[in-house]
Amino acid sequence: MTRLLTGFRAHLWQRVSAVWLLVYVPLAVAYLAFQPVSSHAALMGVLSQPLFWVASVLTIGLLAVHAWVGVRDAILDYAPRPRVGLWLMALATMLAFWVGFALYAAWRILVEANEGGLL
Amino acid sequence: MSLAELDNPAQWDIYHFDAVIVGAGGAGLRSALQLAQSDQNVAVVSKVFPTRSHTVAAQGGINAALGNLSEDNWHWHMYDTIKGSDYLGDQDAIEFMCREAAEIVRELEHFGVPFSRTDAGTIYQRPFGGQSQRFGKSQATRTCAAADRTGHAILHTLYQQNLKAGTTFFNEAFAVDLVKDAQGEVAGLVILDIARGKVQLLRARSVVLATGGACQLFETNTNAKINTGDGLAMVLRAGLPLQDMEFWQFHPTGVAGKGMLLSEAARGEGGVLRNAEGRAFMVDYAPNVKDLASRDVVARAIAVEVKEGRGCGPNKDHVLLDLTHLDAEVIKQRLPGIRDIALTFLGLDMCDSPVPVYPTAHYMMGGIPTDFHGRVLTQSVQGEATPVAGLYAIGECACVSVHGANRLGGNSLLDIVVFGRAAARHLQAALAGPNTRTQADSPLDLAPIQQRLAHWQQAVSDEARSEDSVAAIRRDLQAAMQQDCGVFRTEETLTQLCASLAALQARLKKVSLQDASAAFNLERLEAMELENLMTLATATAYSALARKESRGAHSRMDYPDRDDQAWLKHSLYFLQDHRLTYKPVNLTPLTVDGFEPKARVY
Amino acid sequence: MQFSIYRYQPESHDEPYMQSFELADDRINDDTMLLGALEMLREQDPTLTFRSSCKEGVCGSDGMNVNGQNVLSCITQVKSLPAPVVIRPMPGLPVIRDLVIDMDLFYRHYESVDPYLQPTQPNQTIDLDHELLQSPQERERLDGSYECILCGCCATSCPSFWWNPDQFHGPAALLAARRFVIDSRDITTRDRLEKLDDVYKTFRCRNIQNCTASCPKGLNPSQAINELKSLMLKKQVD
Repeated sequence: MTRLLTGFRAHLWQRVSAVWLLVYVPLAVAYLAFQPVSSHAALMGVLSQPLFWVASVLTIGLLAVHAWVGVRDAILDYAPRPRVGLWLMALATMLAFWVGFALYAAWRILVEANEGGLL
Repeated sequence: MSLAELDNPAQWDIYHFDAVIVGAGGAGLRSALQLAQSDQNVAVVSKVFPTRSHTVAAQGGINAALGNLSEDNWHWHMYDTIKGSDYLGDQDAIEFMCREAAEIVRELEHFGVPFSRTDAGTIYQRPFGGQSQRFGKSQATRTCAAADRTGHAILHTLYQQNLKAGTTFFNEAFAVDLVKDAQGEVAGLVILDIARGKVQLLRARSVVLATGGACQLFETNTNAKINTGDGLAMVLRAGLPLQDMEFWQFHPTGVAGKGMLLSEAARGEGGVLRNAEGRAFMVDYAPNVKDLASRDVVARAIAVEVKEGRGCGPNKDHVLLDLTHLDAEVIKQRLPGIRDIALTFLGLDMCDSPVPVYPTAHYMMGGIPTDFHGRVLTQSVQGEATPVAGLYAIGECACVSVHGANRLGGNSLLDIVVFGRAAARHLQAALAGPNTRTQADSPLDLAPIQQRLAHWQQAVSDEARSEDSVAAIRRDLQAAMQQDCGVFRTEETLTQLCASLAALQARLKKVSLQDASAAFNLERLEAMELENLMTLATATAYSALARKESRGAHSRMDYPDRDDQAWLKHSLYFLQDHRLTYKPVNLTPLTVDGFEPKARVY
Repeated sequence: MQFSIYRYQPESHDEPYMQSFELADDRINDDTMLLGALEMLREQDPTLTFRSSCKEGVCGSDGMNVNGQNVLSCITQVKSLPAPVVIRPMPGLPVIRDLVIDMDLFYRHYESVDPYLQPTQPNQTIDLDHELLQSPQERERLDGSYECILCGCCATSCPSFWWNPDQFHGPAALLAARRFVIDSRDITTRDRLEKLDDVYKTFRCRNIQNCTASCPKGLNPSQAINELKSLMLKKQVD
């Protein structure tokens, strides 16, 4: 588990994902701030806007990668060596759960937007 | 280690090797590399971690007639070395060294030494003292340099190559003494693991001594704390002689009063020495080459300037090394290390300010007599040089003799790698032959070593601190040597020195220690090092007293001239009864005509 | 002047403790180095133990932690230090006795980066009639890498090394690694970079820069490690 995405590739992915997040987060905030949302259906419409939806799904993946590399670094530095495996397993499980939930939510947005006839 | 354990060698850690090398400076490591690459079972014993050996402090460079910057050849190098040695160097060994030089420097380059470079991409060379083209006609440019950190670059590179070759190291282990078997032949070495305080026995068919110099004998010196001549003293204790012990080089430009070395490279790059009148005085002593005369000449010139009242500073006790007329960029690029030393220890930047210098004990030309295969020689009853089976010596502790009465700058780094490799090659061939010598389990004569170790174990006193201490005796020894056996000596000072040494020896026998522990017991270590130094001081004093002439670094004010009739010969000193014998200088090189002794003018 | 020095003697079974020493002010000149002062203190107490050798900052024996900073005692002026001078062994490695630490782990990391030039294929013989050519510019790139004296001041002040001393190569070994990676004569650059590309060996460096701050030779291991990382990027692109 320690060596899942390691060394220079981890270093590179962490920087690439950081750049992506730096660009995505302010743009997403700006996009959402200027959308008049009056109902759940309208919100689904805003969130399912194709460009925004694809960027958000990409963000889920990159955020997971970023968190994996960053938190693993903290664990490798600070956790007592015999427990490193356990902590990494916990981190991986948490991230997997979170990614699964986020992807499910993204899928639901598409479905609900479709049902609302927004797509 | 307890006395009971000491008494019972069966409890010691015992190891078996084909060869054991004592010392991990340039000579020891070059030798070890050769043997390890040929898959011999070889171990290196070092008092410190290898890269802390004093080769690391060599600055200026290594001589080889590469001719990268001006025309050069090994024959001119040979002539310069013989002239520099004041004709006391053995010409067969000098030819051998100078002929090997170019190839071995290129080999070092292939090993990875980060030499400075010429625009053509070849190894950078700088002029050094005593170098000439066409047998004394013009200045040569022969010293290959890695900035002014050449020793550091070479030592680290050789250590790295040994890591690659998989050499076995016993680091932070003090070599106590050579071990002989019942036939009196060398059969190994007893060492003390400093960190744990454990005695260990290394049995070996051959021992190579590469323990370096012993300038810790003098109050101001350029040497490290570890340079206490341990291997030399072992040889004397084994009943073998030391050669030419009266010849100690005083480097002209040590930091005045402190001793740190400021490389000859400073003068090679254009620096000049000035007295209190601001005069570049070397022209009065060496009209042709001035500041690039041989080291003994420059050191004497400085001592004379100071003695005649032209010294600088409030006490008129030093001269100035002036580089301020050089381009600051050249200083920063070519001499960064010595600029650092001046900044750290004097607070002076050599780019804008001259620095105070005075001759400082730097190098021992004498040592363990060997031939140019590194084999240790003794003298038979008939006066013939005979090799000692299984014993080699290389580097500063050896006296091949390529430096004679005065070493040229840049020749010591060359000496260590050339003879390090040559000894290993000879040893390789010997080990490949049948083992006619000691059996691996033959009985050994360990009693003298046990007695010595036990003495220092028992010297610990619980009583209130005694008046005397190892540190005090060492200080007094250094002061006595500095005062009575410095740049200039006389019958009177040397006779007085012999008496002082006897008194100091008596104090050392009685002194008590305060540190009783086994782990990293520095006080006990220093006591044994001081025993070694004391032995060498005596060898020096008696050899110097006997040599009634001035030659190279040995300047007798009462005998100011060189006397080839009586003294063109090597001294051999034996510990027992301070006996001195002599042996002829080799004047017949291997392939070329010999150089007859001539008056030495620079 | 007051000194407070860490004492530990493995055979005595006592816990380590700090011992106070005093040195008369008139024995300390402007140019007295800390090593000189320690040697004077050893005359008071010959059991005080520390390593030293060359006395001029090139052998790297006498690294120690002085007032919280790793230094070489032989090139540290006593007058530059505020009293009391608190001296401890360099942190992060086992103490053998007093100020002497066991640097075995540090050396093993150095060995593990293959710190030797590999200018030829293993079966190729070397041509001793010619040197390997290197331009002054190529040689200049080695400045700042080859001067390391392996004193350990950097690694023992590096939190990443404290955290993973057995796995993280540490600044000195990585500085040595960089020296051979960038040497124009070495033909194993790619293999070297691949070997270093590891979550522990190189990538525990968090750019804390204690290494650079503590290097008594003024070298910059932190920058060297970053250079290794960017060389890995270049290798990926090539």
